[in-house]
Amino acid sequence: MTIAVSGAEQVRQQTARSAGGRIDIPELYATWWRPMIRLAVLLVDDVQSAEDVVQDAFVALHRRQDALKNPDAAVGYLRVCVLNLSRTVLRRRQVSRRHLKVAEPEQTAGADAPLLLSEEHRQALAAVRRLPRRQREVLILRYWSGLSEQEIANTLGISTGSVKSNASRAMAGLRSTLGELA
Amino acid sequence: MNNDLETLVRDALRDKAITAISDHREPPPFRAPQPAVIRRGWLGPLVAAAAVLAVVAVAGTFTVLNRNAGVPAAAGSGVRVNVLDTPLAGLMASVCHC
Repeated sequence: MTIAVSGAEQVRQQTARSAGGRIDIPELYATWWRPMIRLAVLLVDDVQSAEDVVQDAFVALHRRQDALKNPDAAVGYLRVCVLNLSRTVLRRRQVSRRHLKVAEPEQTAGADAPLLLSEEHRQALAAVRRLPRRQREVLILRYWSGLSEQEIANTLGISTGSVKSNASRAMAGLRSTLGELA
Repeated sequence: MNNDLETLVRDALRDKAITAISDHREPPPFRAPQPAVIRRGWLGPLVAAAAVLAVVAVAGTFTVLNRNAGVPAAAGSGVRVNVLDTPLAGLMASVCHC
């Protein structure tokens, strides 16, 4: 299940799957650009970086399209690319903050974004941002992308047991942080 | 309690994602990377390299033969052979005009 995919996108997903055979990259791009951008935004906290990440992910998919015959496998590959490239962005950002003292955007959208999010949601998002990277990724893949534990494990390259323990620790951390704020 | 927290996290993530990228935003056109240009003119450089190697080999052989001119053909035989008189050296000399 993919959350927040519009009806038109669902139809296009089915079309891409029923086409079979070779992966139709433009079709996948039209279908999955927005969900992947949103996933990247949640991971990197910055729309511009998220767009770069997704563009690079589709370029990587284009290079490997002959090796991936199944559209579902292509989507999984895209998701892994987005995760890995997002990690790279975060790593570079940390280095630049440490050495250059460059101010990076903390919020993803424009100045009106905080006004569009409720206080409760802002606190929850801030708590998610404070989680360790792996726990944050598990939460985002679970509650935003709607992946199963097995799919999360495949995407992150870890065991399902590790997914469960990370999710459990993440929820405990969130409960603790949000409990303190309440 | 746990369900409430899960719902809160799910809703917060969805709000943030949709606020950042609205449903009306269309993706920019995808520009597929151009494949690397494959150079098919590989035969010319290969022939040139082979020609250089051949010239070096001939020159080297000729130099070695010149250096060994007058060396006894076999230890203890007492027979001295002028290598420049051999057919191979004659052929090389005619090719190299030296």
